[in-house]
Formats: sequence, C-alpha cells, structure tokens
Amino acid sequence: MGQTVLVCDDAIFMRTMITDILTQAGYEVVGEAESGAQAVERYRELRPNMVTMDIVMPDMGGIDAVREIVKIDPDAKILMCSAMGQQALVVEAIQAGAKDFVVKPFQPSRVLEAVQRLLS
Amino acid sequence: MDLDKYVALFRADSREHLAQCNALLLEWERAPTASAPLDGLFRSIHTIKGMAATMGYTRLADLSHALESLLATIRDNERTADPEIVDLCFQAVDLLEAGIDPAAEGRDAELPVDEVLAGLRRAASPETTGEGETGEVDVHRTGEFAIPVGFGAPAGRPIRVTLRHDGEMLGARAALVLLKAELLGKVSAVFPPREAIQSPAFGGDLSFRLATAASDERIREAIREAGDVLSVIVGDRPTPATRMAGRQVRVTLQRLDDLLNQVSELVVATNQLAEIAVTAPGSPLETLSGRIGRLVSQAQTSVTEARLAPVAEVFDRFPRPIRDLARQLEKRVAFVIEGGDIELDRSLLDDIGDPLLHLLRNAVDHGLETPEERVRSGKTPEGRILLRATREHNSVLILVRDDGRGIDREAVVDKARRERFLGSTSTLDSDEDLLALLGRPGFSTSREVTGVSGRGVGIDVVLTRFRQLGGRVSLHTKPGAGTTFELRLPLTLAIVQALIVQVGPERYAVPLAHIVETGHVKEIPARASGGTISYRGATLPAVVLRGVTGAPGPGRAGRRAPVVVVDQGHRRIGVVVDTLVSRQHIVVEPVDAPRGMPRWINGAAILGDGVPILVLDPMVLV
Repeated sequence: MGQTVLVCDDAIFMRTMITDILTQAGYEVVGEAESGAQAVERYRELRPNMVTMDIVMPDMGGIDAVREIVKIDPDAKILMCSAMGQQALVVEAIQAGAKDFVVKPFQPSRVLEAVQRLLS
Repeated sequence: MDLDKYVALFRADSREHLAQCNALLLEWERAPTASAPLDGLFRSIHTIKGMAATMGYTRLADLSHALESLLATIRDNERTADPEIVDLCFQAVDLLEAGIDPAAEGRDAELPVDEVLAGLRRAASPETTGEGETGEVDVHRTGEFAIPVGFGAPAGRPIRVTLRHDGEMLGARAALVLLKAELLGKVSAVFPPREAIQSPAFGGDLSFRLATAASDERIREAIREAGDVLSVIVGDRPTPATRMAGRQVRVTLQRLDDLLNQVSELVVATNQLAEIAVTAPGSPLETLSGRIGRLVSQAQTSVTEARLAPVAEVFDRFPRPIRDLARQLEKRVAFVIEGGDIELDRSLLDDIGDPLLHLLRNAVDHGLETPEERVRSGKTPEGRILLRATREHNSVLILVRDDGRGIDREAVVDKARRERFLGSTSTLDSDEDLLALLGRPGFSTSREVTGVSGRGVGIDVVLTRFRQLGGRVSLHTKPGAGTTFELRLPLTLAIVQALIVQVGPERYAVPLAHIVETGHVKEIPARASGGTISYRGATLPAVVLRGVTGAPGPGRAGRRAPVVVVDQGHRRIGVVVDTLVSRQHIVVEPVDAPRGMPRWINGAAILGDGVPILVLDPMVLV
C-alpha cells in the first residue's frame, strides 16, 4: 500500500498538480487542505505519512501550520512548497520544523526526489 | 628541560597555526562582525605565544602577546575590525612567520619587531599614545604556558559541504544542511557566516565544525539527507604534531626520485625479461618472470603512493597573494578553494604553483570586473574565483574559474589579425582555437592585447609548463559570465600504461589515460587528417596515423583497419593505425624539442625489446 500524503495549498491548480505528480508515482493523496487552519485540522484527523505545505495561505499561513502540526506530531514530515524569492520564509519554515522544500514552478522530478528523501 | 628536541616541532606547529591565521584574517576581513574568525585567531595566536614563551623566544612571544591583546580588546569591546586593524594584524602575522626560523636558530633577540609591536599596542589602547604604556608582560617567565604544543584547536571535526550548483534556493538548502548537522551534535565556525549564507551571493560551498560522537560515515549520510548535496568532506589534514605521532619519517624528495627512477628501470628490465620468457612457455623462467613482474608492479604502486602529497600544500599559499592583489586593484573577491585533500605527485606539486598563481592573478586582474562594473551588469559586487581539485580516473583535474567578464573574443581576433597571427578571414570558432591562439608565444604576452582582451599575459608560459608535466589544458569562456581553465595532470610522472600501435615499420605509444576504446573501421579515410570515420553509428573526426607520421609503404585507403578512439576532453577522435601491438608500462622520457619537431610527440620510451619509440600526445592530433 502506498504512503499517504496530505496536500495543502490555497490554489486548486497547485493542489491538482501536486496530487497528479504524487499519484502517478504511486503515493496516495488522502486529503487536501486550502488553508493553514484546515491543514492542522486534517493532519490531526488523517495522520498522513507526509504533508506538502504552501507557504502563503489565508487563515493561518504555512509556517504557522508547520508549528502547529509539529506540536501534534514532532516527527511530522512536512515538505514546503515555496515560490522563488521566498528563501527567508523557507528558512523560517525549516527552523519551525519543516523537513525539506521544493521551489515553484515545480519540476516533477524534484518534487519526487524530495518526497523520496522524506519517506525513505 | 632540554628544549632542543622541540625546535622542529615548534617550527612546524607555528607554521601550521600561522597559515591558519592567514586564512582566518582573510575570513575576518570579509566578515568583520563575525566572531568565529576572531575566536580562531585568538586561539592560534595564544598557542603560538605559549610555544614561543616556552622556547624562550622573547621577541616572538612579546609580539604574539601584543597581537593577542589587541584581538582580545576587539573581541571584548565588540569592536569591528577596520581595514587598518586588519592590515596591522596581517603585518604582525607576517612578522611572526618571518621570525620563526631566525628565532629557532637562536637569533630571536635580533628580530625587528619594535615598530609593529608599538603599532599593536597603540591599536589595543587607542587612548594612550605613548609606547609601552600598556605594560610589558614578561610572558616567558610566567610559566602559564608550559605545554609546548597541541592545544587550542577548535572543537569538532571540520566538515565541508558543496551543494549542487544547479540547485534552487541554495541558502535554504544550506540551512537544512546545518539543521541536519545540529541533530548530530554541536555546530560551530560556520563559514560563510549564517547571514552571508542567506545572501544571493552564496555559491553553495559551506564549511563548519561539528562536535559529535557520530562516525564520519553517519555524518556524511545525515548531511546528504538535506538534498542537493554534491559532496561532503569530513575530517582534517593531519597537523604536523599528529603526523609526528604516527610512525612516520621524513624523506628527502631526492631519495624518492632515485627510488622512482630505479623502479622505472626495473619496469623496463622486467618487460625485457617477459619478452624472453614468452619464448619458453611453461618453463621455470616464465613462472619467475611473471612473479617478478607482479612484484615490480607492486613496488611501482608503493613508490608512486609514497610520492603523493595533498594539493593544499600549494593551494593554501594562494589566498594571501589573491587578497593582496584584489586590494591593490580595488576589487572584491571571494576566493574559494575546494579539494585541497586531493593528492598529487610531490614533484608535480612543486611545479604547478607558479603557473596556477599566474592563472589566478590573471583572473583577479583581467577576469573580474570592478565592483561598480559588476553591479552595473547585474552581478554581485564581489567576484568569485574558484580553485578546485578533483580526482578523475587516472588524473587530477584542477579548475580555475572566475565569474568575471569572460574573454573578449573579437578583441583577440582583431589583435591577432593585425599581428598576422591569424589570416584576415580566419575566425576563432571554438574556445579551443582561442586557447591555441592565446598560447602562441609572442602573442599573448603583448601588452596591448592584455588591456584589450582582458586576459592573456603569459598564457603560453602556463600552457608550456603544464604540457611539460604531461598535463592538458582546456578553456571555456563566456562573455559576461566568466572564464574557466581546466588543467588535467597525470597522477604521477614517468611511468604510464600505454597502448603500443604500429604504422608501417614504426611503433608508437599512446598513453592509456587518453584512450576510450579500440575497434575497427570498415574504410580508412583517404585524407590523413581532417576526414571523418563512422564508428558505432557516430561520426568522429579522424586521423590516419600513417599519413600524419609520413610512414613509408603503400597506403591502404578504403580498407578495414584498427582504430583507437581517443578522448580530447571536449570531443573524441579516431586514430587509425595499421596494427594494435600490445599494452605495457612505459617510462616516458621527455625529449628536448628540436626545431620543427611535430607537436604530437610527447616524449620517448624504450620498449621491452630495447627499441626506442615515440610517445604520442593524442590531445594535439588533428
């Protein structure tokens, strides 16, 4: 059975794209969230093997969501999805407990590389 | 206590510490607010002071004491280093360095330290202007520094990490690397400083110290988990003190040279023996010949390894002159050295220093733009020069790269046409052609082209030097993006594995390091050079060796023949020969080039049967 993933992004476009990349590689996307608050909620409920997390989202941003999720599960595997030019935010997310990051626009191979690193 | 036996140790250890001081001063100059370089400097100078005082070298001890006091004042008052202070520290370190030998020879009292000493004291307490008012501390009698060597090293193993240069957000990646390291233990002495890592200028090279119980392997593994990691180097070069602690002896290079020569002669004799032995298959002679062959081959490996030394011994000399030149030219340079632990034949090492420094100075002088120019063209004000050694299969690749303006091809062509080095219609299509032109004696040394082309001083000298060492040079340059010189050197001199080929009555040796594979072509091209062959579905430029060497006898154009596929770095070519003879170790002897000797002759060797043959340089065929 595939590893489970929670995909968090406020743009449905991005959620769809990430879901496609992961599904095609054999991962199971068990849930989606469109805000930080929802991400925390769904994490508590689904306990996925890993999370992809957008940084800028309404109703609690990605970094705060990372802090909350790590409180629930210190071993949570969270992959930040950032846009170019957000390096400072990515570093903050890493300090908050995110385990890795990818940069938009995505190259599917890079996303999968990072996911494999996290789940190995 | 009999101090004599510590003199050598004092010399070696002080030098090591002073070399480190130079590096730390450079680091400090680049990041005046960072505390790590200052701490390191403080520790090293403190150690030197202790050693000098113990040895009774009063002047050296006073000088290091004054320097240490200045550093302490700066550290404790959180003063930042202005350029005068850093310069003063450089002077003091230079003076210490210059004083080691005289002091060790008992001439400590003659050292001219007064001026710098006074300068250091003034700087340490700027409010007092009189000399000596800070009070002389008679350090050599305090007994505080009774341990002769070996304390004061910063905690933890040094780690160097190189990130994939095509990686995204290198700064964030580096943050992940540090985080992974911190999971294993205490991280210190991060360089570049953490703030600088987050700047766009960060190029992906990171070093720090890690105090941890984890194994080297575990450290490498953990850091690789951060992703986009190209290489992780864990560990230190041994210090002179630890080298002495191991069971090692110092041997003069001359002895190793003699040993290598003798083994080389043995190799030739063994080849001769083997030729005789094959005439008596199954005989005790054949068995013995085989055994001697293996032993000689092992001896060869051993003597080769004994001659290896890390390139850092040469590379570490460069940061200082580069810094001085950059200051003089008012340029800003981040000079990065990588692969200092790669080993190279000792005698090669001594010979590459000057040509490398030449290329590096060129990079600062002509390659890099001024900070203003760089900013105008959208670059960081600080130029980057990379000196990197990597081990390739049978050779070591040394790379000298700048991110400056690149070579102005048109200016070079203009100049070359005016000076008739180039026909009026000829062009320079490839970097290879450009390098060949810059390497022409009398061309690149011209002052005018230096000013115009932005590069070229003495490139011919550099090329000649590396070729004499059996090396190969290639050039890549891109307008606005910079210039890279790639220098490939054989791991060792002299003995190489070679393929012996035959054309007409003559045999030639082709060094195995250049050969990709051998095979056959269906049809020999009609032209000696400039033609092509089709080989395994690909079209390769080809040379017909018979044509090139002018061997007598009927040509065999159109017929099937053996081909040796040779790697020229940027491309592969096929060398068509009459026969592939054998593979053997040869001892390459340089030949004094008479006028008109073809460029493709690299040396001579004597075969097992005693016949002298020429060694080809496949890099310049075609």
